[in-house]
Amino acid sequence: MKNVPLKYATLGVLLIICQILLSEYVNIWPVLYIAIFPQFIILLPPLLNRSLHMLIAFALGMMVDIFADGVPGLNAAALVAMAYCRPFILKLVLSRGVIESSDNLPLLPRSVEPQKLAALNALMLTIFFTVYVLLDSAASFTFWYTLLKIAVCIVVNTVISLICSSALFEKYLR
Amino acid sequence: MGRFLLFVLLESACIYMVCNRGIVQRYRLMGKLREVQGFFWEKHTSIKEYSSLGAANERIALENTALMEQLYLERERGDSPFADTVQHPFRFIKAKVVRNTLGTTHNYLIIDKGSNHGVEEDMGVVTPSGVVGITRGVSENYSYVLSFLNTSQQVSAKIGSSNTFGPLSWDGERENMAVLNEIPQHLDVKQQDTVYTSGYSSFYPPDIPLGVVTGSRVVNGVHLSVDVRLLQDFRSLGHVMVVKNNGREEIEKLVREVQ
Repeated sequence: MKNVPLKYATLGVLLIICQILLSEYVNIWPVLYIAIFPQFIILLPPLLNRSLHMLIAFALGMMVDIFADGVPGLNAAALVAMAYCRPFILKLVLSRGVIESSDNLPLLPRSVEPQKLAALNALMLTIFFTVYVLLDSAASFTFWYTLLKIAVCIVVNTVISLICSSALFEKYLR
Repeated sequence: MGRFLLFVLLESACIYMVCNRGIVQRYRLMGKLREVQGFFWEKHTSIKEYSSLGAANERIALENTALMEQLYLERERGDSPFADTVQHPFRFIKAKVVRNTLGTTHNYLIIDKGSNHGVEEDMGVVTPSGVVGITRGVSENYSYVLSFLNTSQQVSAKIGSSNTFGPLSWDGERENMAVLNEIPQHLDVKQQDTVYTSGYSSFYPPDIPLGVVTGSRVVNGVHLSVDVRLLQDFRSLGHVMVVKNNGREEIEKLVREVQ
């Protein structure tokens, strides 16, 4: 696969544009926040340096905050937490062979068993939405409402991310 | 260890920005960015308005602005023998909402008026149906407004029938519900009582209807917490008015001197 950085840069820009459109036009339920840009971090090469991971996550999160969401720092905090935990989750879900054989190439959904891919996405998004919702509702914390919001966001976004990663990103990054 | 420090550093920076909601919006760079974003949002809003009788809305908004100014001027004059010399206590700058976020606990709006039109930071934004928010960042032609649908926002409000006042804040969950706190427990709060702005803050003029009482409960055995259904429908915000309080500088100067 050639031009990996260029492909990632294009994917990042496209995801930010999609997120802006989603924030603008898709307001189904106040409890539900649809975020597709965390997929960018999930798809990064598994062997990528973790510091670089976090810096990319911070930059992407800030872009989304500034262009789509309005409060700088909110998405960035959640994405940085997700990037920091990513290596632990990869080790937990994937076998060492899959990680080491990736050789700095993108994590293609095709190379992972479906149930492991679902677990990977769900765990990554759990970290993202837990940080996001807790930080977002820190000033008006209501236990059950916060819990409902985290749960709904994780379930819906995991389904969306699985569809997106299998249908779109796989072909694009291959 | 280095990675963990980087993680802590990035998270701290993010949390600092989130806790100081609006702080980044004050930077000059954000003003330039808002100009560009505002341009596109304005075009987008114009298309949407085309299907909702934009011209009629514009005319009614202008009339509302003029009537509000007149109302507060008449009220200020009252029976004063020097009625002719009384100045407008409030001026209203009509603005159009070009972006309005909903669905989070940190909502904001962008309006199409900025410093070129007399808008400054920390001015109240209202409609005849309630308060909308406070300007937090101003560029030449656009302003960033921290929406009332924001958990960090409070408005000094009073219950119409009793004139008792307290801080009104959004309940953080439903777009049309707010909570009026610190109301004395002995007070008989009736359902459907109207809640108005108290006028005790320099952001908003008094007596703007905010909502109606839908229920109340005792909190910590001391105060009543009153549920208020907002009259302002934030989903259909089109035109708003930025409030310029002509006496604000004098009041703030006086407070500074006394302190």
